Amino acid sequence: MKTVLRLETALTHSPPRRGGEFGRVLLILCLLSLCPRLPGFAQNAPSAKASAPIDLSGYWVTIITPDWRERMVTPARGDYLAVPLTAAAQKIADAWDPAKDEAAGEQCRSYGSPAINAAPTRFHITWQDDNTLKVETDYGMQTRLFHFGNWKPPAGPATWQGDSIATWELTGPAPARKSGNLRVTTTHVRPGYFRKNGIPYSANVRMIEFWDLFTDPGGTQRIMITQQIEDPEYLFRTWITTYNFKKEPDASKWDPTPCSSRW
Amino acid sequence: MARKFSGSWKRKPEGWTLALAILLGIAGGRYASAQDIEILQVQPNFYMIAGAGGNIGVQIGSAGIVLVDTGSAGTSDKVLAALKKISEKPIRYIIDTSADPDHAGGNSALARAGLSIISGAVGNPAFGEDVLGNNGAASVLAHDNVLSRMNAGDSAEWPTKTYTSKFYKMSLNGEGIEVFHQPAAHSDGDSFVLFRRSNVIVAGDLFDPTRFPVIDRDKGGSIHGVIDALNRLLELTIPPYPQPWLAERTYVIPGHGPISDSHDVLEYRDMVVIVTDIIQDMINRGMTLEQVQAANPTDGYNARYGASTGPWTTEMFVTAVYKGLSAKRR
Repeated sequence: MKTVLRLETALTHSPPRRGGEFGRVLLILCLLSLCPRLPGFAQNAPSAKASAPIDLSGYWVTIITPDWRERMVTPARGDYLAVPLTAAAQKIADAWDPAKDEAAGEQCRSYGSPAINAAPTRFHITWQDDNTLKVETDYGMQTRLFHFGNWKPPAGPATWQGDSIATWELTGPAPARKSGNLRVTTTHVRPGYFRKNGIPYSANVRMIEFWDLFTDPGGTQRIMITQQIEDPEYLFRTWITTYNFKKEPDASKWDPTPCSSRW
Repeated sequence: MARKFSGSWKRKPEGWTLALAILLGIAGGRYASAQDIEILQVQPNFYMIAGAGGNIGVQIGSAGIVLVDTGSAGTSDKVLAALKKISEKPIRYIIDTSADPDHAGGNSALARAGLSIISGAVGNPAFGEDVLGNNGAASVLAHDNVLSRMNAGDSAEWPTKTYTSKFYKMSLNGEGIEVFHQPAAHSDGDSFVLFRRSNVIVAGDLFDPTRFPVIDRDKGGSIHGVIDALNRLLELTIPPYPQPWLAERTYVIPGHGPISDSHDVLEYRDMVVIVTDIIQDMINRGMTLEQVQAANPTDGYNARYGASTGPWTTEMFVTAVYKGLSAKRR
């Protein structure tokens, strides 16, 4: 209540009068919190789909140039160059045994959200509903859901892809702000591997992604994903990487393959 | 089964990922060949032959074929069969990056299978040694120290022309070719070869991302020479920026292992410098070779570059670096 009164004071440049205070407070409360719930007001709030500054839908294929030896073939056990791993994580990576993962039915350990953007995969991106963007992969047949708005993560065990909350970061001249990018924050991820050779991330991993769409000089649409990964258990600093995808005309190259511990 | 890999860099996906296809030569066409030999297209007129010992660079143009290195002795028939798959033109010129038998072992057989750059000119004094030095066969160029190192062996394998300066330049098949000598690196006779128009460098064992650098101290090699060579390679290697998703870049054919680019050379150079600094620090602290070996100065890199058996082990590398740095200190 004090905050509201100070706001009102600042707006009117006059001391609040006892007699009119209740009405003004009511009005401001209505404006700030109540009115958006009224019929008619809510109809004007655009959905994430309607307000999208970029269209990410379609089929996309990854372009792997940097680090292809880690991404396109299974690196040797203990090869974790360029990953800021803690000593504890290195010990785990050194003990990687794909047979154990297979026996435990955990072949998808290297297909979780912290790993999937680096993978040799295609994306099929669609709108599941007006506020949920769906990203499917043919590599490991995984599905990520980017939730916009006031979505609350459900209770339950962590999953390979975790819980992702998305927002549009709008840029360009106000008020239109017709350009921008997608920002996705993912948590509640089931522990897995950053790379095929058992480089681990923990249940405390947190990933922020920035998805940018652009057209190259040749006219090809491309997505560049910049991702920041924090893992207080297994990374000694934030790990930032970028990944490129190229738009494909159709689903003709879509090639769903199940998870594999070895490849 | 798509995307089937089992660890070897030579195994490929099914041609669906552009960039790897470029790096491994799939986009431009990959040729099944005799047994272990693989032909990988690097550029429209440039190929890499793998599996014949060291990697072989193949430039093809109107004049014929220019080879950089000839692989091991005994693989020449396979190499010739592989070359027939990509061009009917004759081998005109061979450049050796070193005297090592896995790089220069096919000199004689491949040169004799080729032709002098000006066919029919044998015996005509109007033509220089470049074209007449091998009795009508393809010429073989190397640094003079390569010839010195090969002196004890079969003379048929020797280079027919040597250079003694820092570099040697020529024009063949419509592009400038620069041969750079890198003294006291892998050995004292190493060269790498830049093909300007093709934007390809054939590095020989000056860059071998399959293992720690092989330093042949008995033949004049040194760790600082290796670092100098890698820095020189980096100076000449152009990265793909500002469009890293495109194929445009300088490709580097290493002595062994996969086709690489500036990122790979940079990563490797950094590793070599870091390990050298670690060993130097240990030497400065008075540690013996045994203590240095026990301290595992290559920790973190062993999984990718190390070996406990074979012709070049991690222990041999650390020993070579230690002895080289210690000798310099004295």
